Amino acid sequence: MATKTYLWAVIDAMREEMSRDQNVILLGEDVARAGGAFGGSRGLLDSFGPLRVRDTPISEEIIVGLGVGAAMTGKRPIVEIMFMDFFGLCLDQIANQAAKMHYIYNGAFKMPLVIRTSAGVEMGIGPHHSQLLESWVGHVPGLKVVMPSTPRDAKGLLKSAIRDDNPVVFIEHLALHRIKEEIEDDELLIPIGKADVKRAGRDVTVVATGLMVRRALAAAETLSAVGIEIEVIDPRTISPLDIDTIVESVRKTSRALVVTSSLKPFGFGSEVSAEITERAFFDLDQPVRRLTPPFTPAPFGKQFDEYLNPDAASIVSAVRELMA
Amino acid sequence: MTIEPLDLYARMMLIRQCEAQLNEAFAKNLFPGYIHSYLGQEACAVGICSNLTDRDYVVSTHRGRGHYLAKGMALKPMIAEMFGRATGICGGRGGEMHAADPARGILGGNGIVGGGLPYAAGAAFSAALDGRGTVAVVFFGEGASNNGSFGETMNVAATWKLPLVLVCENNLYAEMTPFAEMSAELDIAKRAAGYGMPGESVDGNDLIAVRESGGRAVARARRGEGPTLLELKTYRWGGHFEGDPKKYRSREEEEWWKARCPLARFRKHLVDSRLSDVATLDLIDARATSEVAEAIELALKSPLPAPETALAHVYAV
Amino acid sequence: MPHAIAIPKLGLTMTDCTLVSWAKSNGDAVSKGELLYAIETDKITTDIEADDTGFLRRLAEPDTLHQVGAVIGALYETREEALSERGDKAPTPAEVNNIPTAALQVGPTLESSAGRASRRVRSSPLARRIAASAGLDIAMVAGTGFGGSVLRRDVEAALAERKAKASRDTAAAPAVPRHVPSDASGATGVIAARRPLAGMRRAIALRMMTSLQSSAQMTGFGRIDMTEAVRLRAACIGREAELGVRITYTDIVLKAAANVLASMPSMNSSIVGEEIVNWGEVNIGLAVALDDGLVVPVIRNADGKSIAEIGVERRDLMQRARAGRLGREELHSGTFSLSNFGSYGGDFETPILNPPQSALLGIGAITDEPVVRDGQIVIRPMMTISLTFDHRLIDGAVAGRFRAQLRSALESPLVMMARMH
Repeated sequence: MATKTYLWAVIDAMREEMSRDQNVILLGEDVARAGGAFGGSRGLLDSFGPLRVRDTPISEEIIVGLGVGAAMTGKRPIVEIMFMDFFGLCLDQIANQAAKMHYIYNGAFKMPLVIRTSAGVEMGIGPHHSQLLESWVGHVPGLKVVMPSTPRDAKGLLKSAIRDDNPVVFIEHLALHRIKEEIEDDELLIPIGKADVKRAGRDVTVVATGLMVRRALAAAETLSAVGIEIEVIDPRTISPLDIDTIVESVRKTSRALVVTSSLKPFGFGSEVSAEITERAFFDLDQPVRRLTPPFTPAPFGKQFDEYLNPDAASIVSAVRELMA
Repeated sequence: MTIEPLDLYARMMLIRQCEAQLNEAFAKNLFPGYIHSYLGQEACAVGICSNLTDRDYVVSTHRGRGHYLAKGMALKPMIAEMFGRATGICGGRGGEMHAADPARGILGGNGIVGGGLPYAAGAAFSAALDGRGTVAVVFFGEGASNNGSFGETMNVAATWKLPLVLVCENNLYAEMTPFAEMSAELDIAKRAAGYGMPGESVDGNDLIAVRESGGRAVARARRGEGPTLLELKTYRWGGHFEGDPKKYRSREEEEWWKARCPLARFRKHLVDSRLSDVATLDLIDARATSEVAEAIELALKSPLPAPETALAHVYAV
Repeated sequence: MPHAIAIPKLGLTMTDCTLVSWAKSNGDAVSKGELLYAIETDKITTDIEADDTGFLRRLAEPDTLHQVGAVIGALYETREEALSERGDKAPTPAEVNNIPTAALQVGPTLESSAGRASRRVRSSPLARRIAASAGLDIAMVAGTGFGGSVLRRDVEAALAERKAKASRDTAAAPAVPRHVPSDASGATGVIAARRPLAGMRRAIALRMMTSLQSSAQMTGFGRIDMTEAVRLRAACIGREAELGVRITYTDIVLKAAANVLASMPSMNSSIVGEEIVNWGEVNIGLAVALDDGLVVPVIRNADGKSIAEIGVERRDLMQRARAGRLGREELHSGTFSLSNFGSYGGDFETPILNPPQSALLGIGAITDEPVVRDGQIVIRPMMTISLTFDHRLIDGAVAGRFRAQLRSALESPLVMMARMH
């Protein structure tokens, strides 16, 4: 057992998998010499050499394209797109090429590609470095989308993603890099597509992702003091979504709230809400609610971030309204 | 590598017949979707691919049948795929723009102009890691040379000295627009210098010239000396797709190019240099004609894939 | 404009009453004719039916005293109006949207239906499911959710109240005993029709069960030779102008019974609580069949009235009974009852007492029958009497004596006349 930060959990996952399988390679901007723009690949160049850990030019299409071609020809590449906001530059390689190779060619090619990226939510960096776009990629059949909120989940899920023969978009959060957790030493593989009930409760099902998981847990303490027990579920995988775990919870509580850093229209919360409504309509005592920032880009500066984003207090309010 | 000249001719004729007869089928409304004809460009595919082994990779475009056949894809399953049949090489799911054969290194076509360039670099990168001298070839049109993916691919290929041969089939028209209107520099080969790699402009309708320049580029790549940009100047006889009224070019221009038909030229070369004779060549023509006809007939009799198969292979298990 | 629910005057002398209970809750849908509340006057509880349709707002609570004409409630067009005057604290949708949580988009609630005139009940799917499986009409449930919507807790509260009320009703007045099946599937399994047990039918059902459960009823029979009674009646036919009425056998029997009762106080008594009460008046109730029920208007002091007077009163009461215009005192203070089942072809029955009365006389049809007189078979008009009596108070011999005296009076009306005041 050791206490690890989220960032080190990610590094450890890659190190372990690269040690285990020679075909695992890492490509991206500043991943090699600098050990990652945010330190996310520290030490890997030294351990695995310049053939397997490679700095690329600022060419997002090529970063992903290199991954696609290598995955089709026997490698298990991890490619890094520094900020999720840059997905627009390489969406063709992700959505048209990577996601569809296995399908179009009737299973002739596997695509064991991991696209790691970071969401800059609430780092105050500005509108081109703050977006959480899981909906973009969740909407593409053939892709898997994973978004861990804790160090242990990050490690176990990244290892699973690397071993998965499908293209996996692995979304990290810069704001989570420093959080710590005890992680076991032995092999940790967390299955993709399985949600985690982070806290059990009987009154309201709160589905939270990324930064919102910890805030939901904090809200849970506040609410517990007034006799309201919320159940906090972290889906961990965006797609394929473990809707069964969520629905089972809603059957028990009859109320659901989805809290995300991503925005409301056409978002993850809409998907969860629609699925709950279809499967557990007759168990609902309240409409499913979504708690998100308002529908704006994120302006530069932390004061905006704090103002715009849901916090524990707003989660408490939202839950209380559901209980009213 | 040594290949019998007749073999080269036969390959080109197979492509010619394939394209001609598929156009006819399309005209008879037997062909699903669009058809993007390779007619007139046969020397490009055969010239380049005749330097490759099964192990080498080819990434194609939306106009890929020439590349598929030149790289050795079996005719019948390819034709069946064109008609969307269950017996097609991709189970009828890829169709005209998407055929692949991993055993022969054929890594698919593309519906996205320029979509193949980045992942071809990936295949080349993978080949470099393997260290066995494997080479990747990516075909693209001059239209794609103006796409962002071209620049990124050129740069990383040159910088990393990837074993990648970038073959630009400049058939002068990108979709329905003349390249001349879309580019200030009409010699694409010149762009290579800007990225730090060799570039060569070649008469794409001259099989021998294509084969030789292709051979040099492949050899360089195998030696680890990095990529080459080859610009093959050619012409497509058909429109961007069949049915395209081709208002953007003149009949005189079309006739001028048809007079430079790669097959006719090579045939003349074979006959003139006594490498073969008319009778033999006619036989080859006839064989190609009947092979293609048979393949088309067989395809048309073959079953369509069951609709439920659309649900398969979204994810690898 | 809401419809006022006012205490009706239920009899000439009624001035006030106590509101005993409501049959419906605030916001409930009420149909005209449904049992709505109960009032009590002179220790007798009367169920009052709604005289209009709407959604209820209660303005007075049980155990309060009211004058005749006092407004104790109102019926509104919509449930929202009925509930809105309560001063409920449930926020409106507009209020919800303005709850200050910075710019956070805590989404809007269900669309407000305040503007819509529809009577659809807004309720959560869970609430509907629970209500449906408990056989509770969700339209009867007051909602405390946003915009007055019905939530699970409201349905659960309504179910709890329904249960509590049911056990209250059982304690207050013995209703349908528990062993009576509460669903109709036992008999043949196939239901042809169903309607709620309500209104007069329900009142009768309760009364009958109460009667049988609160006294030890026995019925003794007798046979009366009505020859002289027939002659008496025949003599009266054609003399309506003098008499004021066409005399019937009911009038004759009623008079005879009244006279016997006057001389047999034990038959004109009741057990009230722990006491035996001898009534000072002979007030005979006459069972009158209505379309779907029964009323028993009372002829007071029948022993002091002539047959003709009894007849006049009898006719008037029956007319008013069928028109639903009986006064309260005409329905109460009976000390004995008479039921003529001969009028629908019955011979003898075992009628059920009207508590707190201790006896009830049933008379059957008069039919010509062969009887033996002086060793000869003769044809006489015969009538069977069925006398039900409360054996707690009246022994068989006493009941038998009553029957004998009644027979004597009816078989010798002239002697009866000789004895009359």
